[in-house]
Amino acid sequence: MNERETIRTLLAFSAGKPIPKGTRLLLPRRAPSDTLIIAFVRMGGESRPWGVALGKPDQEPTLLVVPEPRDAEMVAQMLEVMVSSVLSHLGHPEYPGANLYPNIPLPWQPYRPPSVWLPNATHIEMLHFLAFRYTFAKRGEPGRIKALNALGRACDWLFQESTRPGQLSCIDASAALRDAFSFPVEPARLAHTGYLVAWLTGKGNFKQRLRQASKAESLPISTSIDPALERSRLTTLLKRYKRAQRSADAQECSVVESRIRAALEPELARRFNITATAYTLMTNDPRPVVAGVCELQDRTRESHAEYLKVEEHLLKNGTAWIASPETDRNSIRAAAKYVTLQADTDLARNARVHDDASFRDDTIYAGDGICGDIVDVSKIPEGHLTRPLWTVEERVRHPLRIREGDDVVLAGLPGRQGEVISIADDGVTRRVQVMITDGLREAHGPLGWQPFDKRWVGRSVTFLSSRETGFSYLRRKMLFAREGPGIWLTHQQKRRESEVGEDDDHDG
Amino acid sequence: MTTTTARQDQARTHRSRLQIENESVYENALTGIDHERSVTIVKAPPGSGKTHLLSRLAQKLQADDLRVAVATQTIAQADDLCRRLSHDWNLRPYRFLAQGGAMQTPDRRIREITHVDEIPKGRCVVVGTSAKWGFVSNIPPFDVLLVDEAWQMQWCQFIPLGRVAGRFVLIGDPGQIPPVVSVDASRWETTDLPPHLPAPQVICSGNIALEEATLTELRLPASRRLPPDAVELLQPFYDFRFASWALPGERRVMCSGRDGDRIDHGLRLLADGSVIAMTVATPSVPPPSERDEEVASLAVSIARRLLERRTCVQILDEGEAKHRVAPEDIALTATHRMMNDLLLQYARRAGLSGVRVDTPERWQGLERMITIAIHPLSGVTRPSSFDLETGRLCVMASRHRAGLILVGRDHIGETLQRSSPPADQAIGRPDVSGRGQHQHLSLWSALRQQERIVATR
Repeated sequence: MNERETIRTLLAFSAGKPIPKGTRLLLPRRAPSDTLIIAFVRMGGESRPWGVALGKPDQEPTLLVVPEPRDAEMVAQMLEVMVSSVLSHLGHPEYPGANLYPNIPLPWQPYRPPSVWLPNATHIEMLHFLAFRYTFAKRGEPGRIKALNALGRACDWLFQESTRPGQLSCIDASAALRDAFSFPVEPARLAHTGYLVAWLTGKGNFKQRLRQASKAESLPISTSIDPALERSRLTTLLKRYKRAQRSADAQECSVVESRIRAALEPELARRFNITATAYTLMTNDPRPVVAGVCELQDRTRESHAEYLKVEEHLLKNGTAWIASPETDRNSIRAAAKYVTLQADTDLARNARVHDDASFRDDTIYAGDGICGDIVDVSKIPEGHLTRPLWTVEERVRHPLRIREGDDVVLAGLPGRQGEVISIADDGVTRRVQVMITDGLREAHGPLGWQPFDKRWVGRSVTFLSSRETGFSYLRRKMLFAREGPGIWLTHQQKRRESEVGEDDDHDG
Repeated sequence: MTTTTARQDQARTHRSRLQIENESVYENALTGIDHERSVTIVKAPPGSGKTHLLSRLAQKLQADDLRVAVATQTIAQADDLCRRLSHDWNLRPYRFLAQGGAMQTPDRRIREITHVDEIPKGRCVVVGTSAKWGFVSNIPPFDVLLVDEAWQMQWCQFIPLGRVAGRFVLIGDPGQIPPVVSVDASRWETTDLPPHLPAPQVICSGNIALEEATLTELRLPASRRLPPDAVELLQPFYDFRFASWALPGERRVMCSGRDGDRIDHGLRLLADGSVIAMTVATPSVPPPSERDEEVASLAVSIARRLLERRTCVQILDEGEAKHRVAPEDIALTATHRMMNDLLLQYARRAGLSGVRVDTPERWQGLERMITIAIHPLSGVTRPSSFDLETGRLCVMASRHRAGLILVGRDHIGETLQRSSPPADQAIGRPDVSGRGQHQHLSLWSALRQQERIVATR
């Protein structure tokens, strides 16, 4: 927790309730009909889900439960039921469903990215597990395996998206709330979505809200079922179910199954409802969404189209290259994804930093910004050209990460960029000279002044370290260029004898 | 007299042996380039003449009518290399710049170009950043690509350079700070050719199908910058042996005046060894790791004392009998920018305006007579993988030509003995934090054994 976060926490403490963090929201508002909530429960020590809740935030969820979570076949049957809901939400060509999304939307068609909400990070990890388990599964009834393979790929895309900065498709409810509000509590307690929701929906003063939040915190939200509940009720029921199964007592199986269901359904429903409330809180928040969300949406659209392209290809040809859920084994693909991730990180930061004053202040505090008054406007030769040179003076309040030679961008005006020529610091005042390299025309900026214009003197400006994303996306393309005398080194990877994770231990 | 002559003979033999080894690295690098498909990796310790070797190769290859491309990691490195090639090696290099770019200081012996069409068709040496080479299309093929500071280049940055040439020479220091990974790269930890790791490390991993191509691994034999005892201390940071150009006794730091306090005592120790550590007591409440005023104050006091005592350094192996230490000869460095900021404030207050204060990242490629470095584990009572990564310590401990003073809290040795490395690497990957702890510990233990750790308070 840095000093600014500590101050925000103290302010929330003083207000006796959570306070908004930042002046803008990053997530675009989505109608309930465009949103899917998924929540899981699992047995302690088991990876497979024991039950799943899924549905729209304004409707009753579909609750799926198996009596024996260690039975792979049973779990596969349960998951087969959720396939159509998930895939139709993602716009899968074989599951048109509500057909919310054109499969690969044309540029002029409005695009609404999929919006899948999960209670917290453990539920997102379950998506990763499902991807591992089912993407390459082979054993089992062919129709079911085909559906589960598709579910595995969908879960893999959602999981990969969840790790991509600036993504809008796979939302961890607790992270969304943490990002939008400062809570008057220690950071260790901020992972519990129920606790956060109780703080936001609670009534009364600090103590009353704290009591309500603590009560909510006592009920688990992660995928693991409450160990006390498992010990007191479910272990006995599971033993009874096993015995009944062994003795082929269908009636007893049915009775026990309904009891297990009765124990698990409230657990699933609670997780679902808390996520739905988190969704509603975010949707009803009056703050505007950051202007840069359009770029984030475009990037999501690109990633979504890549996923759908593979699905289209599989549908048409029966085969397609499918990425491993574990890692990118192909060197060029790994490099491309890594470079894209770097660019996405910068894109997400840029989407916010020009529009959200609080986020911008955080950036400046981290040493990635200069905020001061222009004290001089002059000219500097660069090669055969003459560039405007701004001298900015700021009070020294924190160490600066920006160094001479670094590229910077004018806050609020991404088109105007510069290079830091010199930094002088006497311990009280910092004097920074910035050569303006881009955005030189009058039309750039609300004042309509050229950077050479002396009227800039006396104006307050903020420069932020520049993270240009265009080049990074271009770099990704260059990685795939296979022409050149040296590709024998850069594009030749040893073939592995067998690919772990693609043959074994994946059943339906 | 006889002793002096014997020492001179010994020094001559030592340096001529190293010269021969240096020569053989150069010859072997040229032999490697003879093959149509070849990659040569040259591991170079700090201050061992990386740029010299690269420039010499460029000169020879151009003389042999070959087209040579050179990739550097930063614009400043590219500009500097061009200047050295033109002034020291009598070449007329081309500086391949970004569109609309220009060298900060134009030089008429260096031709600035921005477009592939401007690259000459015949023999030439063209210098650009790896980013520039990676972006442009339709590059007229070169015969050889020389890569400077190759351990600072990630594999994903090297991949597009396959379009430039079919023969590669990569030169760099494997002990320095690895390339910055600003995103979560855990997805690629177990892949065969991880995109975020240094290119030479990936090339040498054995996961590239070399088929008929040749891979040659060479190492430069000695550091010209570091004194011999510093080389011994830094040896565990490297997976190959290297020597110092100097022999014991040829580098000395001499402080005049009497022993007044513990700082004076510590500085006296520099007369018979180039590395010491000075510590301050660790308080019962864990000290701040990012901004430790007491440690910063001690570091600046040491710098001031060096100047007050009219300290001189002796670099006999380069014929420098006595050099009076000026503020510009002293480096102050810490890993945290908050700590550097504090050091700068204290240095200003002490009137040490010529002393440069910076992070190890910024000190890479530079050297000073004396370095005062804040130990990266000072104030860190539970070291994480990041803390145990030794690249930064290695850079801080390899900038000096005569003296290194490590400054920190006195818990460092105990912390290293007591803590277990997190071992949070992916399955099948090297235990980087465990190795880091071993390297940290070996340096600190060696100083303790040699009684070169001075408790000041």
